[in-house]
Amino acid sequence: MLYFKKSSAMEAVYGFFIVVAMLMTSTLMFGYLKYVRRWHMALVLLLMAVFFSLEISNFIANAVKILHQPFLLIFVFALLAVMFIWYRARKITNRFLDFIPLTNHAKALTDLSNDKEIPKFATHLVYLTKADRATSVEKQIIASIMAKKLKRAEIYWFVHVNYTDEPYTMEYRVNELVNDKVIRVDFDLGFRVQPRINLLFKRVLQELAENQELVFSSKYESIQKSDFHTDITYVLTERVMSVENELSLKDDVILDAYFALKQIALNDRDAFGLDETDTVIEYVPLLISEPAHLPLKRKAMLRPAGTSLPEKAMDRDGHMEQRGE
Amino acid sequence: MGNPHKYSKVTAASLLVALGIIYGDIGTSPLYVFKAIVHGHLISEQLIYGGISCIVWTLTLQTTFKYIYLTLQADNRGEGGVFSLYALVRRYGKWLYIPAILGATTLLADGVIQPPISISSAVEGLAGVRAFSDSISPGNNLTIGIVIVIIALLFFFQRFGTKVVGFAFGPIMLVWFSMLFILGAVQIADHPEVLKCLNPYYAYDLLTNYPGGFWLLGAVFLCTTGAEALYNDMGHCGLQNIRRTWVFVKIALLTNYMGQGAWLIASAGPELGERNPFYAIMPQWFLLIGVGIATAAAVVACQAVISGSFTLINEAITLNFWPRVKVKFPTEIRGSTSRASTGSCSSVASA
Repeated sequence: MLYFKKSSAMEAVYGFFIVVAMLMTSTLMFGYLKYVRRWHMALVLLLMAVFFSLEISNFIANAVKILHQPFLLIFVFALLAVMFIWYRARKITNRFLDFIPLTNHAKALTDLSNDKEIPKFATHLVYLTKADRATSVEKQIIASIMAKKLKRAEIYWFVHVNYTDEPYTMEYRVNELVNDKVIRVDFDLGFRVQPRINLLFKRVLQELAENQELVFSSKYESIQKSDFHTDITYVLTERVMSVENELSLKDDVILDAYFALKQIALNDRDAFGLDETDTVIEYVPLLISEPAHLPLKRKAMLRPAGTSLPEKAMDRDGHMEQRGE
Repeated sequence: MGNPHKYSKVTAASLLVALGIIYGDIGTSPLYVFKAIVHGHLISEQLIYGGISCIVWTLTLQTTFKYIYLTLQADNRGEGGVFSLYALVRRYGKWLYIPAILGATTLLADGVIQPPISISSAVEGLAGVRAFSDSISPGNNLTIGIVIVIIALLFFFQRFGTKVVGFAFGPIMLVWFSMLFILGAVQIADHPEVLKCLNPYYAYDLLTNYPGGFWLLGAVFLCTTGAEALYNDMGHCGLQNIRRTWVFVKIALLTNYMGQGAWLIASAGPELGERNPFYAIMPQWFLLIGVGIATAAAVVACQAVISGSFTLINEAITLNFWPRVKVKFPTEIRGSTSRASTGSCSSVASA
């Protein structure tokens, strides 16, 4: 306001933006009429010709004036840049996702869950997964459960949020891969719906419990029943740039901007409505690089006197375990 | 939040609601369109008649045909707007996200510009009131000060949600459009020749024969601002409500534009100067009331635009076009949500 002072100065800029917006809608409409409504191509082209000629002539008429007002143009470009970067960066990072079949690890997860010797990490352990199919999961999630510190839980949940093309869908699907042990939940949410995962997930738990579809197989049921609904731990993955990435220059720039923007944005935990719960954040580099050639030579290996190399390790069942697994 | 199929029945109440929410932007255009067209030019029949003709035909081709008829059919479960449309068609082309984000950013930019334009155009009318004509004129500090105060209040009230005053929007716009119609009709009655502008020949003449006529299209186009907002807010009111109220709205708008034109031809003299033909057609005794109504209508329009911007950002977030930012849900009117941080950005930008 202070910048423009008079309403007449703003009019040109205003008109320009509106014309662009209309042009864009026309473009999208072109796609809509042709593909969704399946109108005849000639008819669609004719309509588009009419609209475009009107709008483009306006565009030209206004474009001249807008060159006098650089600040607003910069503002719009900034907005555009954010949207563009955000969208493209997601596509790029998705390239680095490694999916493996969940079914291969179902037994291992079940065994881990039943292994009472390992301290319990959570009753309900929830991972958010981007895998479209229930039978897949990110390699890095399995690694998180089993390869780093073992995370034992009563039930392992893999939650996927799917944004539909409709605005207000709110549906969920449950897929029990291993009864009461390894469960996948898909939320189908419309694009105008806020993904309050914690709320949604608690509701699912509630319904499953009410319908007696979930059974607790623990010996100490009396104590644990009370925290059945509330002992939920979410594990979120934060992607970080690793040094070893080999990206095209354009992708690199986009990702740099993306991570910079992320600093300002809400973190995933708050964004998904998880801030009341126990949330563990794990940092995973974007690209797990192969170990580089390390010229590290062993110079010495000393031991207390009188000892020898330990026996090969044995696990509780008496099977030999390969060292270094 | 969840409002499924909004193909609401048409009732008197629903029509009123539609009036209040949808037509704010497009309805306040008479405040600045004609002034923008004539500004700096000598008044002549060619200019005025041509201008009216252009407005009539632009409103018809663009707004009535393209939007009210055609685009409103492209609904995504009753919802409209550039992102809803994108969601419908994105599977057919990866590149379609580019027009989507272009459209969205320009709409957001409009959302920032629209409040200052409409409110200042409304307030500048005070310059015509004889008592104020020394202290108020477009561009001077007092005017700007008033406008900023109004804008600040508007954004401040975003925090409380708009349910409280929302029910008043419909009646305010009803009064507004009726006023437009009456003022315009009075002028046309005095100079009925202006009705011949409905003939597109005059538009053609302006564009081809008037020096610099083509460039005036930019100003003419301002009359359609708000068509996008119409599409965006469609989900709140339903198709039928919008179509029926449009009949009334368009008549009121056209009458007023022609009234302004009639006045310009007959009484304005060779140059317009800083006057606004919208206010010039009001009798002096009515001017203060007129400014009041105009300001109220402008505020209603801004409110609709602000809600529209918030919905746009929310959609962008979900569709992965925007980082997740804190969203607050004060009250909701039929699915429109209000957000404090965008509000403060817009208010800072507007100021």
